[in-house]
Amino acid sequence: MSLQNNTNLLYAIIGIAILAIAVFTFVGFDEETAETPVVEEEVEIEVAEEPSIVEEKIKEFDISIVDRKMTLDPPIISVEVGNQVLLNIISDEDLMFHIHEYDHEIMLVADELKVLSFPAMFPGRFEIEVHIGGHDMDMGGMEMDASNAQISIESVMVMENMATVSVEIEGVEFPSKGIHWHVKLDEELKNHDHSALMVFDEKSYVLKAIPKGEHTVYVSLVNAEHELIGNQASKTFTIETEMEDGMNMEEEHGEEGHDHGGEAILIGFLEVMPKA
Amino acid sequence: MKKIFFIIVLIQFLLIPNAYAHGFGSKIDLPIPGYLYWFGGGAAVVASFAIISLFVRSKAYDDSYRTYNLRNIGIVDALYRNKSLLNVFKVLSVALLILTILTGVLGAQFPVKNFAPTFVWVVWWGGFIWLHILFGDSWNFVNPWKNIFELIKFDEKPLRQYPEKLKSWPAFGFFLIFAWIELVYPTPAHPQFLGNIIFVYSIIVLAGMRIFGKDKWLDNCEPFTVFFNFVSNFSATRVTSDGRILLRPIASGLLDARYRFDQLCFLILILSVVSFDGLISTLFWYDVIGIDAFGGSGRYDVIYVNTAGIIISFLVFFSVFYSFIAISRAITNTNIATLDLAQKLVPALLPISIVYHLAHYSAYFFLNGQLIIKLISDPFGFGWDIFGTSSYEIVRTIDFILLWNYQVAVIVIGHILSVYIAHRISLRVFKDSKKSIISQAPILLLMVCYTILGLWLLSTSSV
Repeated sequence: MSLQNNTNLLYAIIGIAILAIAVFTFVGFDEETAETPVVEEEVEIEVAEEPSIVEEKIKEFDISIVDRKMTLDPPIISVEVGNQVLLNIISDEDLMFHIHEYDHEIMLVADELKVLSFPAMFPGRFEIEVHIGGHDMDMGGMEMDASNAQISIESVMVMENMATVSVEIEGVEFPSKGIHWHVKLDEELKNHDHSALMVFDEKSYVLKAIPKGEHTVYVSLVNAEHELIGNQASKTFTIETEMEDGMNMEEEHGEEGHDHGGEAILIGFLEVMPKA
Repeated sequence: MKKIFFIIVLIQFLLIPNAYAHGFGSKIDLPIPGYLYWFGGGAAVVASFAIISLFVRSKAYDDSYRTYNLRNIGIVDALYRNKSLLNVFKVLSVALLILTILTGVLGAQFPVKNFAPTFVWVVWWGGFIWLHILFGDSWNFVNPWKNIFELIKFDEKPLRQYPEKLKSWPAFGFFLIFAWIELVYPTPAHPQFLGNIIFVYSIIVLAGMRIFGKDKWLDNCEPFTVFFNFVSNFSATRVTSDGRILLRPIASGLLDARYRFDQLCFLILILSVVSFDGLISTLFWYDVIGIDAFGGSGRYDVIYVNTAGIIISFLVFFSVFYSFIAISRAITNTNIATLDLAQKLVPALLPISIVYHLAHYSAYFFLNGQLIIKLISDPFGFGWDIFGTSSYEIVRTIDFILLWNYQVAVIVIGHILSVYIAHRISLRVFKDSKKSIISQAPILLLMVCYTILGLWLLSTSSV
């Protein structure tokens, strides 16, 4: 057999291999669509309770966090795109439970059942972390009545490119479980504002590396779910110093690491498989 | 002059802040499902037998492959003659190097907000290889250090003779350090660390080129030149010394490759590093080393184990390859020395390494790679919006089914190419189709093992 024929045949094999993979994928699709009736059955059960999620399938997981480890082996919560994820979480200590990218957070209190529910919208593998410390958790107790909560800016002290924002909090016990305040520079705060900086125990916060010019700082109280409580206060101040080169933009810390002042520990993954 | 350099280097190191414990964004990769793993493995085995059966009847050895001179196409020829396009790329490469160092050192210190980590790890290391597969040795044109050297018009006359007995071992050493930073160092994506290390390395390369001569240094001591040089043998195109641009079947350039022992080791290092990269994040690996993958402080816990692991994995890959070659030699009863045979056959490992690199980095490239769209508008993370793309949101709804198929397809294709190349090389070596078929049995088994390993790494649960 000549070399030329060999080369042609080689390309034929490569072609067949690619085709085979493609065909296999579609066969895979068919197999899984066959399961659809089962899905509908399950949905019917849910209709009575939650009419808004008729199309979705609820995936429920009971999770215990013991010794900062998730009691699943391997610690991977596996669902499909379109599922409604329902996590019943119980922890042996106070922790902030956080799912990356989806950015869902919930404060866990020792031996108390907490429920976190959200739709799995996009596929992938997402880190689940717990954050320790940074909160004063011994204040415990029942959910706080925060209807009269008020925050005001007592002072903004400017030093070179830093500004220390001090606040006064009234109408709610502070620090207390989950209740903290958000602070943001030059932009109003929203509910679930993950780009805001979160302050838990202190009544003051130092914003660093602020460029020269006029700025407005916004503060607001929020609950454990980062929903705004009460009013939003703001104050305008001026920075007169030109920023030095190489200065870190430390005030942005909250945006990246969800800095709760504590250590973050990877405890597992949320695995969202693509929809067949 | 030397003093100033040292002071700069010292200042650079002082700027390194405390280690940054956060990884590089978060991982949104998904392991390939089991059915594709089995399918891919099966396809590799079937394809291997198909290739073997094709060769059973082939008699004579022929080293040639079909080529087509792309300069016959008007536009390619015009582009080739007009050097300005090439010069644009050269200037751009230098600008990108400077931008990477500056953003790393001066920019916001969050990997995802800074141009340097995404550009270096995702775009350049994870994606640049594609340019080599399609367009040949692109690094040769855009190597920023080479271009700086040429732009500054340094004296090309070396100050010292390069010690020839070192061969390309310095490049091997540098590549090992690079791999260690990528795989073991706890915060490889820390912008300031990256800026500093690239700055220091730039000085080393420029000084090396000045002292030992540009080409001597690049060919023997610059790991990326050596790495991309290997990859360009796999490429679909090749620029010949007489100025032709040849389009050729992919990987066929490997038939022309002749490697020394140091190059053999470098090739095996490439394969072992990329496989080890896949291995260290699997839950299986954490079980083996007896460290809990969860609840600890991530890469800090495994520094020593994985440092040893990189070296051991090289030794394991080397000895496995060597022993399979030894078996092959024994059963063919040839008088070619085992090492000689290993050097002749080692190019066949390259397709497998390259496709695993492509599959391994694919999700990283398509997902984290999107960050670069955002970062070109705000490279320092200072809130700029140069091109109006700084508010770009990463598209996370990627089609994982497509991605999985792509991963398995490239692995199987790479396997086929490796088996094919191994076979043609052995026909050349043994000049006897019967012997070459026999010699292929162990090599084929080895290739199937590598492919299965690659698929397994993609399919197994990882951290």
